[in-house]
Formats: sequence, C-alpha cells, structure tokens
Amino acid sequence: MASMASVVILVLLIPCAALAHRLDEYLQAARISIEADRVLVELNLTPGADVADGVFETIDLDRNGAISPSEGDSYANRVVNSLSLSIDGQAHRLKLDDYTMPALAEMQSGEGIIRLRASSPIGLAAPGRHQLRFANPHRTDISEYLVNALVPSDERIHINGQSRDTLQRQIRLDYTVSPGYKKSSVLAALAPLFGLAMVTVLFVCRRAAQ
Amino acid sequence: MKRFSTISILIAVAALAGLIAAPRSPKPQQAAGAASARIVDAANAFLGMLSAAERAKAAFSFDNPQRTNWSNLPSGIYQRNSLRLGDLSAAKRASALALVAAALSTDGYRKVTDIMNGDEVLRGAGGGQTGGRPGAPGRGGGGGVMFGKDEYYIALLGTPSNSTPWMIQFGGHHLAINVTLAGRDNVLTPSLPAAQPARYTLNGQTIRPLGKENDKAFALMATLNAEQRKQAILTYRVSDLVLGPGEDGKTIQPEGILATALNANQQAMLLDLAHEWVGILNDEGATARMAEIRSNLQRTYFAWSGATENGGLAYFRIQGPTVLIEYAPQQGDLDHIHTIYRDPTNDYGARLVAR
Repeated sequence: MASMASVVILVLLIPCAALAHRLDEYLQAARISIEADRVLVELNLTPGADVADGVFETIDLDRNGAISPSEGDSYANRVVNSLSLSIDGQAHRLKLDDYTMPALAEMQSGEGIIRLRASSPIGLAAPGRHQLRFANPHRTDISEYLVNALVPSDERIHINGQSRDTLQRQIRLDYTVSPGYKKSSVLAALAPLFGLAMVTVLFVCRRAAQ
Repeated sequence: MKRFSTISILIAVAALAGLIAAPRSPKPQQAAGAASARIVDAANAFLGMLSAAERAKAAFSFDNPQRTNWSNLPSGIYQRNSLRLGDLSAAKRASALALVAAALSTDGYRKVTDIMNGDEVLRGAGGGQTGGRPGAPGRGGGGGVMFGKDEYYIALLGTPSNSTPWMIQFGGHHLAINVTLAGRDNVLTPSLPAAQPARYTLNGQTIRPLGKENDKAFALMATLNAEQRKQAILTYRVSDLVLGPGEDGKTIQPEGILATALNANQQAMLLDLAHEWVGILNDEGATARMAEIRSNLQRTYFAWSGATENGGLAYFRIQGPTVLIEYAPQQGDLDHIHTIYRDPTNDYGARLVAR
C-alpha cells in the first residue's frame, strides 16, 4: 500500500510533459584543481529530463519520492568512489568533501545539478615533472562528459599538457612543479613574524608604562 | 605619557587592521564618458516611471546576491526575482528596453531583440525539440515553463551614477546581459547570448541571432592550414559550455592554437569573431575591452571541436587573459546554441570596482 502511494506521489510529481534543455543525457562536468599537496575535483551531474527519473531511482533507494540525507550521502560516495585518480602512476583515493542535491522537480526539469566536491591528499609534490590521470566511469550508458583542469592557483605548478579520450571520460595532465616559493607563500610566512613583532612592541610598551 | 603611547600604538594597529579588513565599498570613479552618462539618464528615466512596488522588484543594492542570479533557462524553471517585462505597461516596458538599448551597441541590441523574438517563435512552437516543453511545474512554482517576449526581466543593482559602480541585469530564456558601469568605463561580463531557434523567419526576413558568430568562426577555420588545424582542433567532443551559468570565478587551462601561430589576417578574423560578443556592449565600453584583448593576443587561444565545414556541428572557444568565449550547440541540435562571454579579470566589473 505504501509503495503504491509512493508510486502515485512520484507520478504526480512527474511533469505531464518533460521540459528543459538536456533530455536524454546525463551531463557530468568535472573540474580538477592541482595544488601542491592535494588534488580537488568538482563534479557537476545534470540528468536530462528524460533520464532524470532513472537517475533519481538510483538515489531514492526507498522509493518514497524524496532523497534523504543518507540516500544523498550514499549516492555521492558511490559516485566519488567510482572515480579514479593517480599521480605518477600511483593511485590516490578521492574522498567526498561535500555535495548538494537538487529538488526532485528541478531534476525532472533536466536542470537540477548534483554538485560534488572531493579531494585527495597527494603528499607535497617534489619539484619536477608529474603526471595526473583521472577517469570517470559513472553511468557510461547515458552520460556526456566534460573534464577540464583549472589553472593552478599555486604559481609553482604549471600544466604543460592535456590529453583526453574522445568522450572526455578520462584526462591526463602533465604538469611541472617548480622549486621555490611563490610570493603569497613568502607573505604568508612573514605574517606570523609581523604579528610577533607587534605583540613584542605592545609588551615592551606595557612594561615601560608600569 | 607612557600610557598615551600605548594607546596610540593600539589605535594605530587597530586602524591598520581596519584598513586591511574593511570591505571594499564602491569607490567614486573617474568622470563618466558619453555612453555611461547616456545610460545613467536612461536608467533614471526608467526608475522614475516605476511605482514603488515595481521599483522594489527592480532595484537592488550593488552587492546583492541578485548579481549572480542569471541563467539561460526559461521562466518556470528558473526564478529571476526581478521586474518582468510582461508585468509592465507599454510605456514602462519601452523605457526598460530603451535602457537596455542605451547600454548596448546598435548591433548588440539587435542581437538581444533577435534572441527575444526567437523565444516568441519558440513559444508558438511549443518549446522546441531540445528546448522546454510547456506545462510542467518548475522551481519558480509559476505553473509551468513560459516562453516569449514577456518573460524577460530587468534589475538595477546600485544607484545609477556617473561616479560610483552600478549594474544593469537583463535576461530571460537564452539571454543574460550583465552590464557593470563604473564611471566612464563599463563591462558586459559575464553575459550569455544564446538562440533557439537559431534560424527563423520574421516579417519575411530570415533571422539568425547568432549567425555571424557561426559564420565567422567557420570562415576562420577555413583559413587554417593543416598544421594550424592540428593545434586548434581538440581531439575530443565538447557537448556543452564549460563555464556556463553558475561557474563564476573559474579559469580553465587553455587549449587550442595560440594566436601567435596565426597570420595577421587570421588574427584579425579572430578579433572580429570575438567582437561579435564584446561588441554587444556600447561602442565606448567595447572599444576598451577589445583593446585589452588585442594587447593580450600573444596569450590568447582558439580551440575547436567538431565539423569544420559550415553547416556542421562545432564547439569553439576563444580564451585569453581578459576573455573567455564559448559557443556550444546543444545535444547535436544546430537550431539550439548556447554561448558565454566572460572576462576572468573583470566579471561583474571586478577590476573596475577595485580601481
């Protein structure tokens, strides 16, 4: 009876005519940030209107027409765990940092975006040439993929080459880590010294005042 | 005396900290140019016509989150929270559009009206193959997706001024125009001109809102030799915008052929292609932005994915220090095009406001 009610609710929530732009594809857009000691991956998943119900069913495991926090956690972790990342041939496990799930109606409109953020510590990169490989095998049956590297915010890291498969499920990034510190690192290192100097001045002044 | 010294030092430290930590409020800019003055006049004329209720919907503070509340999506899926053209009298609507026209070039305003008229055609066609189909509830809760010229919205962020920063936001389905003004200078980034249908007939004339963008890009491709094509053409399929709505503040690693590997004629064609987006803005603003793009040509890339013969499906991207332009047909549909124009250094006038 309960399952029947869920079906009725689900049917009522399904638009009488699907709408929006992307229809029968699951768009998966990944962006990779390489930092000195970790890799960040943002993954935006947008099910098209015609595949939204199928995707939703894989998230809404109890079929009650809503995504509970545990169902959201479970799906987000499943997706992140399916991603593969390696640096210089050594595998690194990506860990889910946070995610947001759209409302069911948004997903059914074909414009609801599931946003995942994951990261992996990779140890402090040694100066020299490195190679990152990333692959996203999630739902290859219905998906379109985009994968891009963001320009590294760390001035020591330079991406020298990019290579993808035709469908953008995989990417290889060749990058170089330069020795030395970037300016912001120097400033960051000097900031505590500046603070210490100020505290010392205040201390001396107070002692002098007593 | 010693206590006085201590207090003085504390005040100095606090003042220094305050200077560092203080939020950057809009600073007065240099004197306005002719275009900016014209736009301010048009904005004040528009605001002067509005009722208090209408004004409350149209006017926001400069730093209001409304700034990033734009999309390519139609009403019913996306809630714009500003003043809807369809809710305005004919005179007020004309004044709103006069303000948009004042902010844009003649060609730019024509492109905007071509996109809006296209949406009216889409409304008549019931939504299009890869567009929306009316009848479903959306996030806006308005009872379904709505198309047509009534479904465009206008907002003003900040006070129209010849000296302090403010912004005009105009958009709806397949259109987002964000013009930030600061004194004599102004920028259009980020903006999203798109089209569905990409070709339609109106009053006996064939209209292609993004036709020049398409044709100029294919014309440039046609001039590339084999070695240049090898550098320009990406070896993978690109099915959508990489930095579309909601992707502010990101810079992707550039790809494609560097403009320095193009000959002078090809470089001119590339700049002319970029001008199709940059030139939507009024001539004064567009001239300044084009000068920046031209001066950074040695660090500008042109990337291509897809067919190289006009009439085929192709994605392309122009990326340089102050420009990112993407052109992406949607789901293999030549009649449904999304594009984006960004400036990584100056979206929402960031660089102008910081001056």
